[in-house]
Amino acid sequence: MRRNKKESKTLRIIKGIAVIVFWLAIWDIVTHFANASLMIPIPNVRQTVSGIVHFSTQSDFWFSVIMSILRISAGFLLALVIGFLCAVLSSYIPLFKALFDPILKTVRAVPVASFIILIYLWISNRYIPIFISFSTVLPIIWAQVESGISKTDKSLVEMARVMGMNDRQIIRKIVLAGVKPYFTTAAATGLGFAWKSGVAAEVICRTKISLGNILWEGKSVVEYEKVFAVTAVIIVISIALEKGIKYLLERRKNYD
Amino acid sequence: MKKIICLLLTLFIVLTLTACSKGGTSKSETKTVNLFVLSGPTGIGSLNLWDKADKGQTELKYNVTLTASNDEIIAAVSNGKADIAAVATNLASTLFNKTNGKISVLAVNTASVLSLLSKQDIKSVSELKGKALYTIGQGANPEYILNYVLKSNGLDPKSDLDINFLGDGSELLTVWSKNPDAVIMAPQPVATSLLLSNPEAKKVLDMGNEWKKISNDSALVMGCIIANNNFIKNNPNAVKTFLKEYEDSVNAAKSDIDTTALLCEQKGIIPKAAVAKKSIPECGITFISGKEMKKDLSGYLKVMYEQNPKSVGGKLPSADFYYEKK
Repeated sequence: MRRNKKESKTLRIIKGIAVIVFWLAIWDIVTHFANASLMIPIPNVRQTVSGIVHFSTQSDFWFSVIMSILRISAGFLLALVIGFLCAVLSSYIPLFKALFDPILKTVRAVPVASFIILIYLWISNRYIPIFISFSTVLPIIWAQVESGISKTDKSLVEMARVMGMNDRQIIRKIVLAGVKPYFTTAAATGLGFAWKSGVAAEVICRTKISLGNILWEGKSVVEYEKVFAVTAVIIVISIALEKGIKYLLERRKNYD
Repeated sequence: MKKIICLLLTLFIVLTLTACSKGGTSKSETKTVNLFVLSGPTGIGSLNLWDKADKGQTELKYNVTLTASNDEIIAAVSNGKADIAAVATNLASTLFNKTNGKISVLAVNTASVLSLLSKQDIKSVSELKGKALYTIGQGANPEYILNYVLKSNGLDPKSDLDINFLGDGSELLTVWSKNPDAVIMAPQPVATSLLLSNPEAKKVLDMGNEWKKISNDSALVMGCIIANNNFIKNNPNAVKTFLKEYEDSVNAAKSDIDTTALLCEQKGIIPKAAVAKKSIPECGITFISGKEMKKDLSGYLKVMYEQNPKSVGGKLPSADFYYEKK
């Protein structure tokens, strides 16, 4: 490459910002025309931004951000651990796979909203978002890790045995190394889903001290700038979380 | 020849233009009203009107839409689909504020729908002290109404009672099985269902009556009819006709309960006519307009505003919120 790395990174950032500005301008134009025939205006960029600024001065809002992130992360991490475990069990114990594969498929097929309405009877509002993000991510991790394990190159394993590697080393250096890309992709995708479905659960269940609750409240008092502002914050957090997890998981690659 | 034709043409154009502008100012009023009604007690007053409109017995034509959610009505008011809508009074105030005054209240159609039920004998609000109370609507009107009535009777909602807010009206149905001594504040038609399935319980207090005891310049008015101001401006006579026909409908709901109960079931406002029959008299169906409406409603909104300004849209509506027949 003729350009050096530093330049192209700056250029990339500028291009990224230009694209965002372009779409913000489109949003403003669309709302301008739509609002001509609406009595309750759709918020434009400026109103949404001022809504965000207004929120950032309120400690309640920050508590909600933290609690929502903690709640959904809890469900997500639980799904990572249990999903991984189930994938391993499914891969090596045929009885487990026979019994639990249908459960996996069912959980994956049930729509989030149905799930929420079903578990509403047994689990309190506070925990439903954790459970929902857990149940959204679990099938993804499980399926992907199981797939990764099944794709372990058998000839590599044989060669390693011949070379005198013990089982533990084989598992670490061959099986897990092979599963890693599947796991990383599943985790990054899963986090996005966990966040979306978790916040949706918070809205439906009106979980206290949550972003979902703020969204619902904004709607119920017809303050759409708040609704848009919270949504914007939710989007930013989602992007930050995905980038964060990618960074965390990819960093450890360098140690192998 | 050419000159004559030119002259005639000019005359023709001038006449047409003046005729057109005259026609513009005396455009005929609409004969159709798009009415949106929220499913629930606030819609009962409109049922007889709706029925008559279906049969073509009304002066105006009514396109009635029954909606289950506030969101639908808000959207319909915002995009102009709804000419007239039956909504909660505080939502009416919120809409007035959020549209910058483009709607007005024509009349109040629902007084109180909240009653206090108990298996015990309770004669006054002060007897509620120390009791467990279950209700719904935290962060909404029921909570504010309850707080106002309690405080005005010298009770502190936080310390003098054990108040529990449930999420849904249907959750109130199981309260007495776990807590038979509890008092329940319920809206219609849940309150009626509760009494029907618990014959030992009775209605001990009516929030509307209790409010009347406390305040002279406000009343518990929970539902009203709003209209798009453009619609009022362009169709002043249609609005007057509507109000007359609506008042007739309200009177019919109060006097001919059997028919109205059947309509409740038919139109889907209350699932069972038997329940509706018992519920209708408790739904506070009324028709209040003009000065009395302004007094009752502005007083009520002030009480709501003092508890939570957002419940009425951030500020109290100005005088042009209240429609007055001209």
